[in-house]
Amino acid sequence: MDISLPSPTQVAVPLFIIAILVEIWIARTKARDSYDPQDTFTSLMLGLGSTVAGGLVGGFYLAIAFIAYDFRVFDAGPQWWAVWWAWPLAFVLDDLAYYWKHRLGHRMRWMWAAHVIHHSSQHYNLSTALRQTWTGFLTPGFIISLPMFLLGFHPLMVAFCGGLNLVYQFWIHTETIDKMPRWFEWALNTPSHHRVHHATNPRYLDSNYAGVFMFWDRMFGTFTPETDGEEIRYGIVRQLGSFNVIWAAFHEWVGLASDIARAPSWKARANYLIKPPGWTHDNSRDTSDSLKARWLTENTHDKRTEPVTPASTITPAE
Amino acid sequence: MNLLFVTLGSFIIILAVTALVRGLRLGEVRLENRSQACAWAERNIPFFNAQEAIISEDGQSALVIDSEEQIVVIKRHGSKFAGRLLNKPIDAHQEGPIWCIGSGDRQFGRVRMQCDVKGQHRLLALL
Repeated sequence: MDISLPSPTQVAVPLFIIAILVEIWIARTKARDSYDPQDTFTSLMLGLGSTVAGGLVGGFYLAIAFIAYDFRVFDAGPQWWAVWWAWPLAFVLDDLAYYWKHRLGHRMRWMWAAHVIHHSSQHYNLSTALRQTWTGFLTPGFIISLPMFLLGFHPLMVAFCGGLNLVYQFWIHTETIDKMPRWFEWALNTPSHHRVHHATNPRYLDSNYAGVFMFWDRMFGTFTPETDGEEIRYGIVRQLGSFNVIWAAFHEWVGLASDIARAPSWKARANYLIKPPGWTHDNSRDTSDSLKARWLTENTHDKRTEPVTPASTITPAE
Repeated sequence: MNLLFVTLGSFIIILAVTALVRGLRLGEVRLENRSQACAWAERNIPFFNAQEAIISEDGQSALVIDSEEQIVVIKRHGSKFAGRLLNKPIDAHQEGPIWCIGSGDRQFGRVRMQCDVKGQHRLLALL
């Protein structure tokens, strides 16, 4: 006897829509610049495209997972789903795999090319959460999950836990919620932690990769708390400045291909794939590391913080 | 077939949500003065030390010049602003009262500005 598991993300779609409508309604009176029609359209279309891409290639990756599962070290038997403790364990291990996949998604340009779509909006609201990759299947990120199948976690169990993880991450894409209770902020990913992750302010770059459990960032040294009084700038260091859905989905792949084509050697070509975004063979661009280092140097020397300008500097039109 | 129906249904919902955001007139912003444009450039262009700005009368775009004569063109992008450092000489032409500034990035596009007389003189001096 086998089990049929629902897709958590598909089940949650109506809740996503309701939550977005509620946030829009709140924005109407409290933060009129938190939503924009073109940005919302682009975010939702990118979410739709991601669903279509997942539907087209998901089966292929499930097949690979089943092949790995055939070589499992531990076998829970045909009623694998009845081993209750395997579920929370799978959820935690999948979250750990997510952390590393996500971290590489920012630190390895090949994977950034697929992940940047999620960071391509300068807005930060619940619709931003739905900007998901169309091209994740073109990256080696899947390899990070393979040890779970080899250990003996059933692919459907891992897929279900991964879906729950994604559903959890939806609600943290908001400015409507300030901070959660202290214990919650310590243990779990929250809107505050994830705002930091989406920020382009130098102090926040490459921080808070967690999916659900914040202790991965604390454990691996990538945790940065949100600083009161510093306005967060969302998006990417070189903002897209375009609402073109196709360009948002593929622009980094175009940039990566162009850099590889112009690279002077095979070593440089390989480095364009594996080094962080911004790396060039002639040091002509900034990486997040160089931006952060220059910012730290300036602020250490000047004993001054980055200029803090309230959001109200740009005037929402009535 | 199921994927096709889901896709079509989702697209209709996307259009409805977008129409709601537009109907509520969310996301309408403008630059009110030069100091706002300068502050934006300093915050968003790494290590840019803004000295002066020319802003479009509709508050939707601006040019900001820094202490090293670097020039940033800014345009409204949703309810935020986005910018590009310009290469010299500046690619600009006039269409009636509107100046069209080339950003050097096809996807970013050309930025349209309508300036007052003082702004126009300063713009001409930059070209």
